[in-house]
Order: sequence, then structure tokens, then C-alpha cells
Amino acid sequence: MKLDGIPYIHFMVEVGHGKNRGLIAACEACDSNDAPSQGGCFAVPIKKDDQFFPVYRFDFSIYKGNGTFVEVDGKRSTWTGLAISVALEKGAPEHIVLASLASIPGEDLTNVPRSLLQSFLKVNGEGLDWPVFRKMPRRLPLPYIGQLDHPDFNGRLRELQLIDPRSLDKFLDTFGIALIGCEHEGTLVKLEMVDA
Amino acid sequence: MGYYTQSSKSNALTWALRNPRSRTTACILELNIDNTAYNKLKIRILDDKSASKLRQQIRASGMTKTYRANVDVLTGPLQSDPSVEQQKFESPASQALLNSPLTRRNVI
Repeated sequence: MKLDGIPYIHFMVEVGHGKNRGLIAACEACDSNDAPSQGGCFAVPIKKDDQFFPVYRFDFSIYKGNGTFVEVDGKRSTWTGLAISVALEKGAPEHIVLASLASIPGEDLTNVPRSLLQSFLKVNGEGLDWPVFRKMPRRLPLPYIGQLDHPDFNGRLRELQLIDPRSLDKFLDTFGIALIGCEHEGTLVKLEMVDA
Repeated sequence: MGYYTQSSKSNALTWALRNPRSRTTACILELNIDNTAYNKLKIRILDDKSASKLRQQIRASGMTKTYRANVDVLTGPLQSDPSVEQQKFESPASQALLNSPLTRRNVI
């Protein structure tokens, strides 16, 4: 599995009502008459059997405080991290754990043993409290109903909820890690022909 | 219409980074409001059930961007993640409090 083929964790907003409910990307929400004015949640594409994919990726930046970020060439830098889906306890539903914050361009992930990744996490041990997501309770998979063209938006998506609601705040406080989701989904807008 | 705050700074920062209007100026503004002054405001608190019902009414009426509850502050679970609390300050009185010395405003 190459990095390019790994689905993203996206930051999305639920819109519509009744049978017309769906998700749009947060970057579309400010221009939507149907979207709430603030806040979103992370969501991921799922397999047809409603199970998570084995690995997801996400973009993040490093927040230094006071409105400043780690920059390269005067622009906020973005890195890509990896998250894996695991069952943290035997027989438990699958969870998504932020597993690696290193960018691995072109790395073949097929041969990384899942047991090695799970032991590395030490979720219930003395290791770092990695943010762990589960499927948002009492929510069904939703279609993407926005205007962007992204391969992850072809099927249904599952909204995610942190098991520890404060874990991403702690991550931000400790490491300055600001999860973005997919940084470039907004650049994939469908092009429309216009009169010259 | 209103001024929106929420209890999760990571969610707020991600929102700012994903919003085309603020992605290059994203930051976290922390507000510490004097409890006594805050409690003098007319506050409507929504639980999961009442927030969901109100949300459906607003969407069905097409007033997502214009709805006002005729209170100073409307507070309840964030629609996209009920574990996060959101506040909407929607009156001149609440705006005055946010801009007064009774509220400490710090970019963190």
C-alpha cells in the first residue's frame, strides 16, 4: 500500500435534514447556506461492509502559539501522518488511532506488522496517550453531498468521535500538533467552463 | 447570526485552518468571562435532544444562517460532535460583555 493510495481522515460538517442529510468538507461550510456556522468533526471513508480501512493518513501543522505555526519559506508547513484501525480490546469494535506523525513518501506499508504498530502505541500502557477515535455513536454512514472532487468522497463516510474528548487538546498543548484532516481537498474543485 | 465559541481548542483551530477565510490567520482566542456577569445574561441551554430538534426546525425553515433564539447566549452540544460544547452569543448585551473588561481575551 503506497501513501498515495491511502484514504484521508477529513474534517467535515453535516448538512441537510431527513433523507437529504450528508457531509460536506469544512472548507465548503462557510459558503453553504445549510451549514452551521462553527465546528466540525473528523470523518473517514469506509469499506462497503461499514468497516474502517486498515490505514488512514492525515495532514497536520505545528502550532507554536499566538497565531504562529512552524513555517518553511515563510509559509505554514504541513506534514502527513498515519493512523491505523485497530481493535483495542478483543472483540471490541474497531478504533482509529493516530499512529505515526512522520511523513513516509512512497513507503510500502504492506509489510509493517500490525502487532508491531499496536505494541508501539502502548495505548493502555505507559506510552503516550495517542488520540483514539471511534465511530460516532447513533450515527449512520453518510454520503458526501458537497461540490469537491476527491476519491474519498465517492462512497459513504463515517463521522468519528474521540474516546477521550480532551485528547486532541492535550496533543495540541503538548506537541503543538494541529490536525487538519486533508489539507488539499479544497483544491480539487471541479472546473467549470466559463465564457471568455 | 452571532459570535460562536466552543470548548475544544483543537476543534476550533482545525475549523479555522479549514476555513478559507481564516486559514492563513488561524489562531485560538481564549475567553475567560466573569461568572457573575455571564449569569446575568439570558441563557438558553440545549441538551442533545432539544438541540437536535431545534436544528431540524432551523434547517427545514432554511434559517441556518439567520436564526436567532431571542436570548443573549444559546449553548448546547456541537452538532458535529456532541462531546464538544458550543456557545452562540447573539445579542448586543452579550457582545458588550465579550468586549468588556469582565472578559479576558487572550490569543494562545
